[in-house]
Amino acid sequence: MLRYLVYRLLSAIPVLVVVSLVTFLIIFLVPGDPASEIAGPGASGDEIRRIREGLGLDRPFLEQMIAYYTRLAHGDLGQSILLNRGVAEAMVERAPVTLSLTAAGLFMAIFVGMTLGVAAAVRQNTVVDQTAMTIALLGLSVPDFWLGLVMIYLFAVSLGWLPTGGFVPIDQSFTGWLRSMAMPALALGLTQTGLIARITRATMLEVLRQDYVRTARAKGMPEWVVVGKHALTNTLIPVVTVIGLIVGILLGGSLVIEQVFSLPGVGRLIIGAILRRDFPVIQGGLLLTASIFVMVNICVDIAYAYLDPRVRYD
Amino acid sequence: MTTPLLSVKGLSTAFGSATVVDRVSFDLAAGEVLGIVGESGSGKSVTALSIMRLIAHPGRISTGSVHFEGEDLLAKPESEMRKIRGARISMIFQEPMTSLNPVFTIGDQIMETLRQHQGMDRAAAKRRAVELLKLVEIPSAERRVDEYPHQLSGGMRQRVMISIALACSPKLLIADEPTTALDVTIQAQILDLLRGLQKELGMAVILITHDLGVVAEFVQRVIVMYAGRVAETGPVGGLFRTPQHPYAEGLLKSVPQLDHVVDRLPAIEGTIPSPHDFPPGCRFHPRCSYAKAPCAAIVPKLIELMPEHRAACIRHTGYEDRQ
Repeated sequence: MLRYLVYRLLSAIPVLVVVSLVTFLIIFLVPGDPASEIAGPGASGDEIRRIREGLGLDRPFLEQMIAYYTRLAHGDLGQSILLNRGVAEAMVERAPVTLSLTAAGLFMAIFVGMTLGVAAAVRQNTVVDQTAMTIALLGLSVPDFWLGLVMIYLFAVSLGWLPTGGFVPIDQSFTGWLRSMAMPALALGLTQTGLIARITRATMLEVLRQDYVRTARAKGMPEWVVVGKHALTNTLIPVVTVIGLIVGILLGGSLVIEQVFSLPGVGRLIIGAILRRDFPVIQGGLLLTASIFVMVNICVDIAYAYLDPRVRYD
Repeated sequence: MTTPLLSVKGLSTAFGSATVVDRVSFDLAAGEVLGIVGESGSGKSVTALSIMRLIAHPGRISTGSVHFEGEDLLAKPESEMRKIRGARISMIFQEPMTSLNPVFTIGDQIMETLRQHQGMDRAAAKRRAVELLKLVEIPSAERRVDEYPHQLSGGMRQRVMISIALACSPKLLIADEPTTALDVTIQAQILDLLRGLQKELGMAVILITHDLGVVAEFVQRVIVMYAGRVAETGPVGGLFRTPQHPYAEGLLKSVPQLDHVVDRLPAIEGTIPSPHDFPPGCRFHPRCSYAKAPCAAIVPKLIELMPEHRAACIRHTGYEDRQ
C-alpha cells in the first residue's frame, strides 16, 4: 500500500512539470509581441517597455525559464498586471468561493446521483427506476447556465426565497453560505448528478447479477447488507474513477456558474484575466486548477486502492 | 415412518411461460446424501434455488410445497426464510472463483454469517472462522483468514465457501456442482473433504452434479432429472445396475468403463430441449429409442418398479396410462 502511494505521488511529478511548462510557454504563443498585446492598442512605447521589463520578456529565453521555475519553487506566481497585486494572493482570496462551489456541486452529484442510481437498480423496471432515470436524463440534458438563469428568475426574482447571487463565507454565516450556494451548486452539479446516477445504476445492475451477491443472499444476509455492503462496495470502484474526472469538469463549469451568479471566485478572476490579457493571472489560474485536478485524482487512486484489494496488493 | 428432514412435493418453478422445474417431489431423511443428476438445463440448480427461495426475478415458484423440519418454507415470510438460509440450510455453488466477494477478506465473509445467525462478537467470530478454515483443511488458517479471495486458488476458495456453508452447522447442505469448475485432482480433494465432513457432522447433503462418477462415490440415493422433471429415482446401487428410464440408461452408458474397451462412447442423440418448447407427453420421447406413439401424448408418472426405485416411463406399463 505504501509503495503504491509513493508511486502515485511520484507519477504526479511529470504531469505537473508538463503543466508548468505549458503554462510558461503560453505567453510566447501570443502572435506578435506579448507586451504590446497586453498593453492594448494606443499604449505608449514607455508603457509597453515597462510591461515587457515587468514580465522579464526582455531577458533571454532560458533565463526567463529559470526565473519562472525559481519563482514557482518559492510559491510565487508573479504579479498581476491589472490588479496590481500578487497572483497567489488574489487566488487565495478567491479560492474559498470556487472550492465551496465545486465541493457543494460534487457533494450533490455524488449524494443525489448515487442515491438515484442505487434506487433505480434495486427497483429495476419499476416506477422508481423510471422516475430516477427521467431525473438523470433531465439533469444531463439541461445546460447548467440556463438552469442557473431559470432558477434565479424563479427562486430569487419571483419568489424571493434566495439571493440572486453573491457569496457569503461559511465562517461568517452557515445559513447565509448555504443560501448563497444552493442554486449555484444545483446548477453546477445537476449534469454530473445525472451522469453519476446512470453509471451507478448500470454498475449496480451488473454487480447485483454477480455470484457473490447470490452467495450473500444464500448466507441469509438481510437485503440491506446484500445491497449496502456486498453490492455497493463493488459498485463504488468504477464510480470513484468517474468522480475524479467529474471534479475536473466541475472546476471548468464553475467558470460559467460564477458568472451567472456573480460569485467572486477564481473562475471570474480567470475570465477577467483572459479578456484583458493578464498573463500572470491566466498562468496562475491554470497552474492552480491543474494542481487541484492532479491532487484529486491521486486521492481517487488512493480511494480506489482502499476499495479494491486487487489493486492494493499488485 | 419419521418425518423427513426435507419434503418437496409437486414443486414447479416457472420463468415466464417456461416451466423449468415441473412438479418435482422427493423426500430427504436427516443425514442422508442425495444426488441430483442430469444434463445442463435439466432444472437441477433451479430446484435447489427454489428450495432456498433464491429464484431471481422473473422466475417464480408456481406450485408445490417445501417442508423443512416440518415447516412450510414456501409459506414463510422473507425475514423468517433469511434465518434459515446459511444457518439451517446452506448452499455452495459451482463457481468458487466468483462466488466470494472480491473486496472483503475471507475471514470477514465467514464471520458475517456467524455474526448474523449466532450473534457472535467480532473476536469470537474470528476465532471460529479460523477453526472453520482448519476444519476445511486450509493450511496456515491464522494467516489465510485475513487474505482476500484473489490471493487463493480455486480449490482453496471452494474450501472457504464450504467453511462458510458449515459455519452454523446446518442440517442440510446443498452443493450445486461443487467440483465442476475445478481441476480433476482438486475435484477429488474437495469431494473427499465433503464426504468426510458429511460423516463427521452428520448433516444431510443434496449433491447436484452431472458427473455420475461423483454420484457413485458419495450418495445413497439418486434423482435423475430431465427437462425439469424427475425421470427416475432410486438407491444408487440399484439405479446404476438396472436403470429403468431410457434417459438414465443412456447417461450410464455414456460413462467410460475401465473394464470395457470401446471405439466410441455411446451418446444420447440430440440435445435437451429449451424450456420454451418442451415436447408434449414424455419430454424425452424425441430422443428415446424406445419411443412409441403414446409417448408423445401421455405425461408418464413415476411408477415404483422396485422397492424405492421409481421411473417415469410408460414402457414399463406396456405403453398404457394405467394410473
